[in-house]
Amino acid sequence: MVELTDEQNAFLDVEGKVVLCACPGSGKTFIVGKKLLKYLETWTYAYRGIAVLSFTNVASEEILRQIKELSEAKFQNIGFPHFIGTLDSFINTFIFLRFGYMIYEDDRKRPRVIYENFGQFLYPQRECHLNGCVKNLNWFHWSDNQLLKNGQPISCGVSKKPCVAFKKVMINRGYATQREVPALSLRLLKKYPDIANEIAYRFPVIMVDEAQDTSREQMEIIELLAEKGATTVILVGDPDQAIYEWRNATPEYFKVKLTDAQWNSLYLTANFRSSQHICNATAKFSAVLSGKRPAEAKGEHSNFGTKPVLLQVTDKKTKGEVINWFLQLCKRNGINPEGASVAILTRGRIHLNTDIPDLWQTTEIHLLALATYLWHCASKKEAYTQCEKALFYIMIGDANGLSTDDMRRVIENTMEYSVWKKKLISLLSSLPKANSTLRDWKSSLTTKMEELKQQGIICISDSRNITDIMKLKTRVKVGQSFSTEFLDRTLNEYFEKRTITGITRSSVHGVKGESFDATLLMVESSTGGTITPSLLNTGHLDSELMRIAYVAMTRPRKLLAVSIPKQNAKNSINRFPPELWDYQEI
Amino acid sequence: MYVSKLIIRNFRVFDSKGITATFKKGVNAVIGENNCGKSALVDALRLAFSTTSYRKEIYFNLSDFHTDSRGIRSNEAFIDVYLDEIPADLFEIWNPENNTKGEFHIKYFAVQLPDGKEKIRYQIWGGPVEGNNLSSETLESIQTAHLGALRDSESELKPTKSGKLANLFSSIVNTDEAKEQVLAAVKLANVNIEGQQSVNQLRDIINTNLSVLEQDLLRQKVGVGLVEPKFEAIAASLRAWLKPRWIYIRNDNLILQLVKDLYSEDEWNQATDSGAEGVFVDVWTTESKTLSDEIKEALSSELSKKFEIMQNGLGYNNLLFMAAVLGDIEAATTETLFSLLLVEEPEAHLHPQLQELVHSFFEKNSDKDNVQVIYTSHSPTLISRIGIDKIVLLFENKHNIDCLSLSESNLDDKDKYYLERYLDVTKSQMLFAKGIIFVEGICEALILPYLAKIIDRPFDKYAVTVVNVDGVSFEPFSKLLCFANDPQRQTIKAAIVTDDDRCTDKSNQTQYISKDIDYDCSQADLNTVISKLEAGSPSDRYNKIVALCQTAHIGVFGAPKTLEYALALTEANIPYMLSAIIDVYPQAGKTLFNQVEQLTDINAKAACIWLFMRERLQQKAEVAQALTKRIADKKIWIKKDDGTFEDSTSNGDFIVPEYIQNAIFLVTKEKTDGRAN
Repeated sequence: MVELTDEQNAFLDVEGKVVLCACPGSGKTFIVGKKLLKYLETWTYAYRGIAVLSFTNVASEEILRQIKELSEAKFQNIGFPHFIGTLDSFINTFIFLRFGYMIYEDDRKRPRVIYENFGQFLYPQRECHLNGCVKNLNWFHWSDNQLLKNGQPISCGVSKKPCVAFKKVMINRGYATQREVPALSLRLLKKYPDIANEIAYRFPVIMVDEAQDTSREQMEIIELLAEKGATTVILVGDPDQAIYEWRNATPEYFKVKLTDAQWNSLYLTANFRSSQHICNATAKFSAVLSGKRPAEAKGEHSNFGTKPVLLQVTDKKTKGEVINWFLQLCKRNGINPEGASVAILTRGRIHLNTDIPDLWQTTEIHLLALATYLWHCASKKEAYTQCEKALFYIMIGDANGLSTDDMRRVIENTMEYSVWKKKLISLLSSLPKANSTLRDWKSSLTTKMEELKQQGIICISDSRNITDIMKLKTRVKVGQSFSTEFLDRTLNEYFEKRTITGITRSSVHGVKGESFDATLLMVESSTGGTITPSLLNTGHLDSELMRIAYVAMTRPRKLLAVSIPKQNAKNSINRFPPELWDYQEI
Repeated sequence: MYVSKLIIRNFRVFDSKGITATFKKGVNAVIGENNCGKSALVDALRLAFSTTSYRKEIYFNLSDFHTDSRGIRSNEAFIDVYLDEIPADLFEIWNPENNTKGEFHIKYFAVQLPDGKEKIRYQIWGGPVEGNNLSSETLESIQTAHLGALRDSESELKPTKSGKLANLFSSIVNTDEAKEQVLAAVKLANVNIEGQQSVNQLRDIINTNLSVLEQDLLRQKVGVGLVEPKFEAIAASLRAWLKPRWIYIRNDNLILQLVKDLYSEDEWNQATDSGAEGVFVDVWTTESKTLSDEIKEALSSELSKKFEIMQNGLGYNNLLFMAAVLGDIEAATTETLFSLLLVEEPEAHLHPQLQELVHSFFEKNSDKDNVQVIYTSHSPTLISRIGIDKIVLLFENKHNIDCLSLSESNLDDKDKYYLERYLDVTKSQMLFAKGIIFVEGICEALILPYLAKIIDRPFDKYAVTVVNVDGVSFEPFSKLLCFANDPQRQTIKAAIVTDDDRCTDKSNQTQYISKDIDYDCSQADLNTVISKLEAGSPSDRYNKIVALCQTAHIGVFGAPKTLEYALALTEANIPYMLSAIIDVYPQAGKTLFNQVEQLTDINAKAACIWLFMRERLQQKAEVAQALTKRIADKKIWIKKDDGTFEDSTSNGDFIVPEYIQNAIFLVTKEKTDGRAN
């Protein structure tokens, strides 16, 4: 039995409106699991439950795993009346999809959540074309009181805005994008307070994990439920780790709660993950800890003796050399990259220069490529779904906005589903290997599909040819000339967000919440709107890029390294004081 | 909570328009003639509530889809269930716009499989729009118990694993300690039994044979005992029987005196009945006594001559069965938010007094907020007890089944109060009829069935009931049979046959016929009467009911003046009427006969007969009775030349007045024989 800290015990006992600020490595999932277990063991309601809401399914699964472990498998599956899932699916399931029909005066139907807007503007005006609105339908989403364009009020001169008309038609047909669901749900809850009452009754305990990543509307929904009588509402998060601003997340709302007198603020500051050296060094990048003592290292590796390393990389060194150097460093510190967990993190995509605009010239080829990657490298089930969608586009038509069930209904109008399934499996098994170059993949799949067409297994709608579907961008402009180099890269590079081949390579977002023995954060650029040496040094602690760096630097248990392009001696590196960092150079 | 509304479409007898049944809290009755969907309604509720259960007692079959008159089967059926006063726990069926209400819906549809076979699929959703999940947990909060029409109480009460007794026992004995105790008792009994040499012998025989059969392959041995010492097995072996109330102790039985000593003289006299060679002792009275072991043993040996279930009468088995099922509902866990008891024909095998007890039993059990009883019935006894609001009436209309929940009929509180007093056991029968004729008195009630036979619409064949309203309060009855929101909509076919009561308004002296005038009045008076009757306009009371029914599906058929006058307005009927009068008034009747004989004008004859009857209301019913006999026998009094009367066979048929014909046609079948109207 692990001895709990006073902070942890305080959290286990607290009820009411609670906001818990949990620093990196503070054992947040563990203590949330403990708290949940405490409820589960004494739960007496049959039709009222606990909602534990996370941001990703992975996080939810982690909580379930944690519960299973903590309860020694007594709680294997936590189902009805409880809900353990993402905040999005909670709002979808219990508010928007269930009661969304009340938006409509008559012809009531259950709305659908789609991932992208589809269709087109009716009567777009010149300005609509000039502003790019006509081509970028996904810019538009509802807030709780108006239509927004990328999060901002629409401020063009067009009267009777076609975008507004377009989105109204979408809603009237029952379609809302996931992005606007919280706003639309909030509208419903405000209009029908009984719904909030009922949900608060249905879930007397609500815990929101990663609450710093909630959007304003999501936070308002949670607040409303707390107001309407949910007995205990717990927000768990760390404003320093808010890295989803591009998804509407704003840590400000969480921070406000931390100082709100109506909310009981608790902190978990002990760090059970990293060494004291790492805690000391990373504290400089934390807004929460700013002006406070660094977190106290309490874990197994608290006394690990190696200071974090700042590696300055001179001009000519390649990425591979940097990585090699880091692996050597690991070995010198007794961390064998083969056996231990070692991560190399970058801010964005792990494969540079794979962001080719309009690479996939048709929806079909994009879906087929994605299916190929999923089939060979990730989830076969997901691959099946994507391939089915591709086949639908190929043989039947536009599948945008259709659910699997919808598609099935359309398919069954033309053929037995079992026949369809055979075609689908033929196509799936024709998908080339994901490590072929894009060029080879395309030509090989084109040939295979021609064969399938000859055999009558697939046919193509709208009298198109296979070649009309299998279209990639042919060249990209590099400086003054054109390059086709991108076609020689392997297909999986375009989809991989993370690879685990002995060492983990990932974007920072991909390893959120995880721990490694050793971590290298690679800062490769000195300019631009990304993580740069100057940002690390002088950037505002409240900026998202800083938080991304902070998340990366707080992953390791033992060894932290940050590589940056070599700095001029003139530039001071004050957030990396030599007493906390070991300076190295290659 | 309770089921407030049920809509069924395309299920069995219910077509695409379907039915809408409204229910109330507590006990509800679904009634109607045979084959009009009472069981289908009950099954729809059973299906609805068991849709997501793992174990189902009922499944939706292809044959459950409605087949229309052209023989075309539908491919979609719908059951919509609406609930009221729902607890906040039922989130998934809750309706935010109507805070205490909830609803869920099921759609069954047939899909064709590639091999050509058809399969049933269903979709179920909570709330008004399709697609919202309704979890099995939510529906499991609602417990239904069903007692089918052809329930075999005997086999249901026999000890089996899924029998009612086993279920009930399992829900009562729900702690491990309690189970242990039961197990211990059985284990002890098994030890005692196993100690018996004969039982050991039995076991050894089986084991010897078993070992020969198995050839050492399995090496199993059997034990022989009362029941396998497992809780489920014990529950499955329980049986119920009625304990005999009386034990017969013979006079020569030594125990008799011992028992007697336990009682005071008075007590003994009350607790016993003497028989020829002994005494019947009320067992129940011994329960309060302290009995010695000797007496206990003696009594229990008498008691062991017990009744088995099969020895109980059918009726008592039914009661036992219902008691077990209701017990199961009572023992329900806290997870059960609502219990719905569905009983088909609770009256089965029960005599009327017991039926009333059953009704009270239901009322008492559904007194709680979370128990509702819906039963189907053919029993006027039950219906007369239940209250109009709680009756759902199913009926056939133009070969389709329709439904009128009497709570939805056009009644105000006054009407309801009147009807509830009025609808006794006899009159409740009308709700089981295909056609109803309301009449104002006993004469019409007596005569109409005979008139119906004459025009080949015998009431028994057409399931028509004549309801004597005993007055002229037709209004509540006509409203009862009409939808409040659409009185024109056909329900049970109904007609009102009444007198137009012209010439009774004293304030209108040009029409009023004085009460002083009798049949033997002057010719002048008679002429006045005749002309007044011809010119008279129907009474206000009559006009009012005509006006009321003008917007309803109910027909009003008025006799010019009265029934007797209307009957007498046909020449062929005069001999029958006079004969019936003579039967009741041998002297005055003959005088009337002579007087009528003098008249030639049919109006005068009818007026004369009417005047006679008007003055002699006391024996109106007897005259009507006599008339029915005369019509049935085709016999009339004939005046012989010598002035004496002779009973003889008539050679003319009795003719049914047109307004009565029309009333009968309305509630039976339109005239199709081509005769002119």
